[in-house]
Amino acid sequence: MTRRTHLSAFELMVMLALARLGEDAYGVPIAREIREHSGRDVLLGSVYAALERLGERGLVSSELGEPTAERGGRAKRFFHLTPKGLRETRDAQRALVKLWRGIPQLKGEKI
Amino acid sequence: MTPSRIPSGAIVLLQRARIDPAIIGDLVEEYPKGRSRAWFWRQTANILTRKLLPMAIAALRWLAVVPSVILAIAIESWIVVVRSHSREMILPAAFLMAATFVKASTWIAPRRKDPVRRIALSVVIVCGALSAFMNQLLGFGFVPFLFWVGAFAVIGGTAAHFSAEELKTGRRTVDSICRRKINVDWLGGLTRLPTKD
Repeated sequence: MTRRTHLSAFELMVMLALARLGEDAYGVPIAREIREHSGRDVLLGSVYAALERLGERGLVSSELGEPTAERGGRAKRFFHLTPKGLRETRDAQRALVKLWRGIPQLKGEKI
Repeated sequence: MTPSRIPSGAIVLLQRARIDPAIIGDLVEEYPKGRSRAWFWRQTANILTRKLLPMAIAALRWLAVVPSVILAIAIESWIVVVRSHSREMILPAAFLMAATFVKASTWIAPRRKDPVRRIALSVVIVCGALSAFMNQLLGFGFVPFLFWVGAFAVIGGTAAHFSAEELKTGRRTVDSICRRKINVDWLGGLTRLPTKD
């Protein structure tokens, strides 16, 4: 079984959420960002699974923050897009925009 | 409304499963913001399933191989002993059959690209076939001995290769002899993501 190289729709959403959140990107805000913008109910486990896959491909990096009382003394894990991740996100955007253009069925509809 | 207490059973389960504390922290942080106990348990179940399911599948695959090997040895023993009365062929022939069954079982299950394992098993099968053929044709008593030496060398070498791979990647794996590298450190493995220092 060969390793998948393209980004899935959910992985792309996670990467876009990381880009939007900047320095404050950890599990809860990432899930919230996706939920608010896509209307999909997102499980934290799914978000972390996607982040792990992206991390293995070098698209995302992470660092531990300071433990806080509201989290029961547990630290936050902050995630960032790597330069490679940013490049892949741009490539995905270009490819999607190209595919989007010139489809009559998708014109004239309010999103 | 006063938020109810965090389900401690769920926390214990997550900790026992060695889930990254950052994930547990996320749940603990989110829970008081109007989340229900059902939400907490649903998240817990999702996280645990994602971690434990690959391990369960790997274990089942291993279990599926055992009856295949036993069946292969039984069939081959019956063929060799009862049908041809050639007792000296029983070991190489049984091994040949067992290796064939193991290989067949890995074809059924999804597998990773792994040339080393494929070559190793193919060598074992070819050695077994040649050994059986030579033994039958020429009556060489030492050929089965050579076959076993070769087979164990191949198996030992393959196992050593996988161990080295595990050491190199720093990941704990199950089913590594079959080379279906199931990462049992799911979520916990996040600690090994590249970090900024």
